[in-house]
Amino acid sequence: MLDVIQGLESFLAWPTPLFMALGVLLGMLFGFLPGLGGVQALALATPLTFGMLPNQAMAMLIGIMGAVPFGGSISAILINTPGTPQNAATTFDGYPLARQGKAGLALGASASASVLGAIVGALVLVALMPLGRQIVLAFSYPEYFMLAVMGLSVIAVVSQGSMWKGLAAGLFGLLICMIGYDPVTGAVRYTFGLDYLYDGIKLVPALIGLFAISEALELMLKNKSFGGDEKISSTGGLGEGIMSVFHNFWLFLRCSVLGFIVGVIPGVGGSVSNFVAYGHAVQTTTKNPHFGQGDIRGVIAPQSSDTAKDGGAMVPTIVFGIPGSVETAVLLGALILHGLQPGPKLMLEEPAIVYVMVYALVASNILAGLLGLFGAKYLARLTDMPSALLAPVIFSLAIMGAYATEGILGDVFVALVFGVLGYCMREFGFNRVPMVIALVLGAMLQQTYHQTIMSMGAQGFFVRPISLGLFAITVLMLIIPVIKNRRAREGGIPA
Amino acid sequence: MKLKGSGWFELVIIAFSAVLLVMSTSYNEKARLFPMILSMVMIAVMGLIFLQESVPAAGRYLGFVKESGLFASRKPANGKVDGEGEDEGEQTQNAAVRHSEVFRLLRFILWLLGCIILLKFVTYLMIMPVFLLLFTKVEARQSWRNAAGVAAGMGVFNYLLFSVLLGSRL
Repeated sequence: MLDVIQGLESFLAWPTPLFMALGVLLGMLFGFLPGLGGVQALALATPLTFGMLPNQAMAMLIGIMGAVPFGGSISAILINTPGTPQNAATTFDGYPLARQGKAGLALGASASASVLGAIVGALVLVALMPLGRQIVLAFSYPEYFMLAVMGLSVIAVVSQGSMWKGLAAGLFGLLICMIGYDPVTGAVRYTFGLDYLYDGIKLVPALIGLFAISEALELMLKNKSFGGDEKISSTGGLGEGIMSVFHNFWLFLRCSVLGFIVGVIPGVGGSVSNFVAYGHAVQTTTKNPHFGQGDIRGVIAPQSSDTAKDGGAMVPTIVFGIPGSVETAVLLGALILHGLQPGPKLMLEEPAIVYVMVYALVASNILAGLLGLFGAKYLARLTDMPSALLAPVIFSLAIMGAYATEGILGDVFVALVFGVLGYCMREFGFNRVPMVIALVLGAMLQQTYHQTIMSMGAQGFFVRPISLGLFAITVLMLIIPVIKNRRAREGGIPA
Repeated sequence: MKLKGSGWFELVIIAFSAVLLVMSTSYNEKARLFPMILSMVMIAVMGLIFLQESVPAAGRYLGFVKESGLFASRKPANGKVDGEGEDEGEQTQNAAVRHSEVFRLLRFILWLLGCIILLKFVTYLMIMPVFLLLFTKVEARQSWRNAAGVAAGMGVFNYLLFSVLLGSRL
C-alpha cells in the first residue's frame, strides 16, 4: 500500500505531470498520422528524457504510449485510415459512422472506450502483477498458433459481401506473408531477385497503401466529396458516444479483458488484440447487429481492447523484462538507460516507478480522451476539405509516412502497389479487412505451426489445456452464431 | 465472352498465384508447405469466383459463391462498405472501371511513380512541394493559389515533422 502512495506522490511531483502531458501531445500527433506510431514517437522521445529523473522520463514515455491508440482512432474514424496498425479494426465501423454524419458519436465512443479500457487494463495489471510469471510461462508455440487461428477465424465474421471473396482476400494476404525468409528453415522465398523482399512485405507500408493511397485514388477518381452527401464533420453526439460505452458495458469489459490477455503475450500486441476484440463483438452481439456499416459496438470493442492491451503488455515487461509489444521494447531500453533493471528486481527495488507507470498509463488516456473530445470539432473539419485538395494531402502523408519509417524507397513502392491493389479490391468487391488480418497473423501462424510440429508433434496442439481451450473457443465462436442464425430463421425471427 | 474489370483482376491474381505455386516447388519440404497449399487453394477459390462472375454458363451452378459473409447484415443507409458492390449488380463494377477511369488511374500511378523515383535523386523537401503543386493544379484542377497553398502547407509540415522533430536524414 505504501508503494501505491509513494508512486502517486512521485507521479504528481511537479513537473512530472507536465512531461506526461507533452508525451500525450506527441503520442496523439504520431497516432493520428498514418504511417507513424508509438514506436517512432517513443524512439524520438527517449533521447529527450536523458536529463530527466526516472519518474519524469517514464511519465513522458508512458504518456506517449497511452495516447497513441486514441490518436490513431481519430484518423481511422475520420479518413478511414488507421493511424497505427492497432487501429485497423476501428475503421470497420468508425468510418461508416462518420459517413453517416455520426463522427462525433464514434469519436466520443472511442475516447470513452479508450479511457475506460486503460483503467481496466491498469487495474488488472496491478491485481495480476504477482501472478504475471505464471501467465507468461503458460504460453508456448501451440498457444501462439491457436491464437493466430482464432484471429484468422474473424475473416469469416468480418466479410461483408461475398464470403468467398473475403476468403480469397485472406488467402492472398497469407500468400504475401510467405515472401521473404522462411522463419523456420531460412529458405528465401518469392523475392524475385530483389534484396528488399528478403525481410518480407512490411506491414506499415502495406497498410498505408491498402487504406490511405486507395482512399485517395478513390477520392480523385470519383471526384466526390469526402463524406459523400452527408456532413461527415458533424461532431454532434459526442455525449451519446461517451455514454454508449456504459450502455454496452458488458461488451466493453469483455473486450478490455481480452485486450489485456493478448497484451500479456509477448510479441503479439495491439495488431491482434483489436481484431480479436472486434471479432468477439460481432460474434456475440445478437441485438440488432449491423457491423461493418456503422455499429457503435464495432468502435467500442477494438478501442477498449487496444488500450487495455497496454496494461497487459506491461506484465511481461515489468515482471520479466520481456517486451510485451514493440512499444514496450523501446520502453525497456529507456528503463535501462535510466539505470533501472527491468524484471523481477524492479518490483522489489523500485516499486514506486512501477506505480508511476501505472498512473501515467491511466492519466495519459484520460488526457488524450479529453483533448481528443475538445479537439474533435476541429479535427473533423479536416474532412470538409474538397476531395480534390484532400487527396493530394493524403498522397503526400502516405508517401512520407512510408518513406520516413526507415528511409527506404522500396517501402514507398510497396505502399503504391498495395494502394492500387486496395483500390482494385474495393472496386471489385473484395474486402480488404481479411487481407490485413492475414498480413498481421500469417508469419506467426506459419512459424508457430512448424515450431509446434518440431518440438511436440501434431498432438502438441491438442494436449495442452490452454491450446485446446483456445481451439475450442475458436470453434464455438464460429458455430454458435451459425446455430443461432439458423434457429432464428427457422423460427421466423430476424437474426 | 467479354471480360469485365473484375474478370481481368481475378485472372491476374490467378496467374500470380500460379507463378507462386510453380516457384514453391523449388523450395525444401518445410519451406514449401504453406506457400504450396495456400497458392493451390487460392487458385481454386479465385477460379470459382471468376467462373461465377465471368462465365454465365458456369455461373448458374456456382450460386453459392455469391453467399454473404457469416454475419453480414443489412445494407448501410449510405456509404459504400468494403466487399459490397457486386451483389448490387454488375453495373456498379462496370461503371467503376470505365475506360476514362482506367486511364485516369494509370495517370495517377505514373504521377506517384515519378514522385517516388525522383525521391531517390532529389531531397523530399523539394520533390514533395513540387509534386503537390503540379498534381493539385493538373489532376485536381485547382487554382494556382489553392495548389500553392497545399504545396507550401504540406512542405512546411513535412519539414517540421520529419527533419526538425524526427531528425530523419531522407
